[in-house]
Amino acid sequence: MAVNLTDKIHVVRDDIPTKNLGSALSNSGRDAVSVQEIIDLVPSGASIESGFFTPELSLSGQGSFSSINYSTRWGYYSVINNIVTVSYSIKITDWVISKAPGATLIPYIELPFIFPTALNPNYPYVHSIGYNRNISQTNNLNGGETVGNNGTAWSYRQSAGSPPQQVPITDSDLSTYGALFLVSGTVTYVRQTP
Amino acid sequence: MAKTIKVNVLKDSYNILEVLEVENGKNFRYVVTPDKDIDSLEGIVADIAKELWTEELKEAYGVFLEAEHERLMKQFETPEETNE
Repeated sequence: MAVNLTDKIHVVRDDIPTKNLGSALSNSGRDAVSVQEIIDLVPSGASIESGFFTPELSLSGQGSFSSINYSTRWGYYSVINNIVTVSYSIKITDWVISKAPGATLIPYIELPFIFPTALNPNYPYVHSIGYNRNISQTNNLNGGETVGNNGTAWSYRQSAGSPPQQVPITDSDLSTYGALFLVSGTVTYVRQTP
Repeated sequence: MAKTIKVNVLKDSYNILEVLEVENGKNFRYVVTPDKDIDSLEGIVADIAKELWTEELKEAYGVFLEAEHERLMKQFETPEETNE
């Protein structure tokens, strides 16, 4: 027999006989509940969502890409109870940057959920790691550890100085190599609840 | 199967829109911020942006972006070493 959510099940309190005694008074302690009501008693599992996004390289500061062309571009995300894990990879073949005179721009990738730390410090940044190549400092690769509003950016480790310093990748680093800028990485953070 | 679109408005964060598109069982997400050109948006996302993104809000978001850029630049700064 198929069981429907609206079907009723008799529930008998402890010390009440399971046998139907015939009268309402005698049957006190015997209730009928629906299958749905029993299901509702079971705690819900973790909220899970996964899907795709298209990583887009943007520039922080007074400027932007006038044009940009990608040869590789993929992004995947999963969310478990508001913990977002994002993986991405892009490879760029060419770009044109327009900017204000003297402006220094920082490239970053927009994430599929807003990264809330800058706006709401109570939402913690958990982890970020990335890789880049063909910037001007090719021997000091690093990346992805800097996360600002809505995106993840990169830095490189200067070979000079003691201790060596982390400095951001800027538009001038991008311009050093006219072709093939590749970044990939993973970011984990707490999603800002709407 | 028709595409369904769900938009979350982050009211405490400059009315930034978090968009979920579902088509053929696949989820696709993106974020739309008030510095985006509304004319480049489509459908319900454009309608919501037109309603919520006032000129004052766009201006305030621009100021925030400038501050955020400065924060990013300073995040890497290491205090200069001295002999003291």
